[in-house]
Amino acid sequence: MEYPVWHFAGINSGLLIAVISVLHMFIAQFAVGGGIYLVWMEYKAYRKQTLELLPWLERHTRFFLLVTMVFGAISGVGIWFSISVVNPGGTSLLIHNFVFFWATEWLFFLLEVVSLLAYYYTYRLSREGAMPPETHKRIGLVYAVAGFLSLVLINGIITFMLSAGQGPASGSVWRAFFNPGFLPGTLYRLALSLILAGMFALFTASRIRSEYAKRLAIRSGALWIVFPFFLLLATSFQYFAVLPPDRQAAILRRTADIHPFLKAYGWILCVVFLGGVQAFIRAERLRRPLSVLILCTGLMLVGSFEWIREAGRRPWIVEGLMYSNGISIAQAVQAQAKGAASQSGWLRLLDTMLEPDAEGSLPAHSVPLDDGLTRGALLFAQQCHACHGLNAPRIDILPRVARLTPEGLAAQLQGQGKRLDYMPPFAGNQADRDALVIYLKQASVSYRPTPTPEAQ
Amino acid sequence: MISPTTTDAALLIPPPMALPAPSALLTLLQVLTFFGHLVLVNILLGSVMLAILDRRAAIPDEKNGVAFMPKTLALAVNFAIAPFLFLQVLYGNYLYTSIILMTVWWLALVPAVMLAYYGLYLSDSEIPVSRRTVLIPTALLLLAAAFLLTSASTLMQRPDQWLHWFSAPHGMLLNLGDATLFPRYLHIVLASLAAGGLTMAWRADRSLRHPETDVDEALWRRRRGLAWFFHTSLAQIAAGLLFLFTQPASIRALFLGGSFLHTAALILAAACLIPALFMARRGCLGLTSAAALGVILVMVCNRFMIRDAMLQPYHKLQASVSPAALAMPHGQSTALAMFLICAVLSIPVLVWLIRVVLHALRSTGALPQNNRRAGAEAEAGEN
Repeated sequence: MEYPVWHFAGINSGLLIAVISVLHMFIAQFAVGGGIYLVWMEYKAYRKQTLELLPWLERHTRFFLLVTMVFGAISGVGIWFSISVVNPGGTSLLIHNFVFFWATEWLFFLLEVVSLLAYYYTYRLSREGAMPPETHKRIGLVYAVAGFLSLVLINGIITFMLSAGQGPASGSVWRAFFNPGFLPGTLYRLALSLILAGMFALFTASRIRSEYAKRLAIRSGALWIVFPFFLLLATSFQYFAVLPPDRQAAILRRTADIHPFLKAYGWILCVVFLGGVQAFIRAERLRRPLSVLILCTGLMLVGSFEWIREAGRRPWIVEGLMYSNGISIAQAVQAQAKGAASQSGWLRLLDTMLEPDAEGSLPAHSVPLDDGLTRGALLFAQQCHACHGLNAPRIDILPRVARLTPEGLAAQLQGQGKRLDYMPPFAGNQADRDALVIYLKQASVSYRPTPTPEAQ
Repeated sequence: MISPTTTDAALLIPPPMALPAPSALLTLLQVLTFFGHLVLVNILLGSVMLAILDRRAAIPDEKNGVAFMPKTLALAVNFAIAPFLFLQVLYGNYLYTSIILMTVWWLALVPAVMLAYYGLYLSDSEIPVSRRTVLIPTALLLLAAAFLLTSASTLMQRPDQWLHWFSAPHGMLLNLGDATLFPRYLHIVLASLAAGGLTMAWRADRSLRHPETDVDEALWRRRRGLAWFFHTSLAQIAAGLLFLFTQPASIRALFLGGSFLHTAALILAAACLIPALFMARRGCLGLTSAAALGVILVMVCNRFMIRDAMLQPYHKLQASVSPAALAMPHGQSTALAMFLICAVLSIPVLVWLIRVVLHALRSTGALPQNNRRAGAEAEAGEN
């Protein structure tokens, strides 16, 4: 809450991050699995003398390069850019504590970039004999290993957020990295990466002209969906089992923001498996539309999993350290005792700019600045906007506010964090709560419930 | 003297977080990686601009003329990550605030660079439209990205400008009120054109090793590249002075004798630039490039010194604010060791990758053997 906020454009910042990160995870995990797939297939083509596959593998490598190195790499930077502006407190926490893990991951990314460029631009040379195939395969191996190690490093930080383990208590960054979720998380993402590699292989293989090569490529792609599926299934349960009990309860809670995604995840898992089996059976007849459909199930699988992981973490960014709105436990305690302005220079300065109303009461009934920035608006942006939309998609706060009286809303804010344990406590005193209540009630005046209001 | 605006602005600066390693080490890592990023960006941006402004000299061969550009962008993006990481560790409280103020622009950087990236790949493929039709929007996207990054990096050192957020909190702010913004941007664009000129000269020089190259034309392109470097670097002297004289008086004074370190850095930049110009006129490509790299490295250090000097009054006002402790201070030194060991180990792997690729390209004749033709030397000697 020590930072300014951006929320006035009517765009829900949490949703923005969700969209960018799901698309990025989809491609970034393909980048890991796809690297392993390409090398494996090249080895196999030479070993079994199925050299008809090589021209397609070269085309698939170009597709892989254009998708992962351009979209994958830039969207990765995009996530970083967006979390930096939407949740600077949380970003700062993860950057400062894990800086050398990120820096090491950067080195692996550098190796990925150089080796993938080398791998693609020498593909033809290796096929034509200007480079020994063994050397070409080794270049691919460098990419595959670097990609996997990148995943290992990032996964350690991501799983720390959901299952912090002994890291914060012991103060050891290594114990934080090797948290309880580290191993199942790594294996889970490895399995998912291999499945996505299989799915993308089906996508490009569906256009192979040679019937023989097409059958080989599609069957291999299908098997890369079917076999890792069992690892995915096992590690899904294992990942869940190692989570702290309160996180497990959070994931299983039957609220509208998580339960439908959990159900969808289960169904999509089944569809993914069946899609792999179907592709294997129809290898010769697999057309582009079906391969696109299978890819869509992969995207939905990634999307539902990431959504559950994010939603299940609430009210925390890192349990025991920082809430999902970027406010640390210590800040929240201070703000409740001394007022939100004690923790936010932006709020303090805003108070000096706002004129008291006719009743002389500044904090609650502040007159807005020219373009509508009020104390309540800033408190909403600082404390609620990370999760709630304001007349915008994703957990829109207006229908929730519209059905409460001002007193009821104030009571809810006071009890938040205890009664509603999936929400952070409100970091402010009585005057801050009043200001937020007035802002939200004024905003909800214009709210008209749709015929099918949200359940929660 | 600290003005009331400065006092107000100091209120807005979030407290910093404790550093996981000595600040000197983090600064060194940032300087080195940012230097790598800036060199790559200058080469890329300059080459794309010259491919439009001086097409015949920049991309004479229709087939592979722009093939190096997407690869350079891939490396430039990669090399952006490390300095951005270390910048967040050292100056996160200033950086996050400035980019929140310009959120819309900041997020627009992502699609802009992505489109530029695809534009470069597109211009390197068989396309029914002219290459320039694709390169012009690509160059504009890259120029816009450079401008936005310049705005962010100047806004983070001007907390007094953050006060505008209270009247414009929509994430649309740019640091347009800062007199140093446009001179700094001009400085980047001119440096890019100079680096683009050197890249043009190097490519012509390398092509001389190929037996099928038209030697006269290659020598002409080599001269042309060096001429681009020479003239844009001459203009850089004017832009540099403009950059210096638009700095606040207190900062300017540091570079004009007020501080030994700052003044020495400015003199060193000039001391590298003047021989670079001289060598460019003589046609000595290697020495010109080495001196140009020296100028870029010194200017990277100058930026850091300017930032520190700009933020000094705020550091004074914030002296009583103690940094938030790291949640996990233990094990940071072994994590640093992991990074350094991986950095050392990755060098032979990178060298091996480059070596096998060059070897394969040479064996096909796509790259010439190392039997340099005498033309370039003769050309250099004549000048």
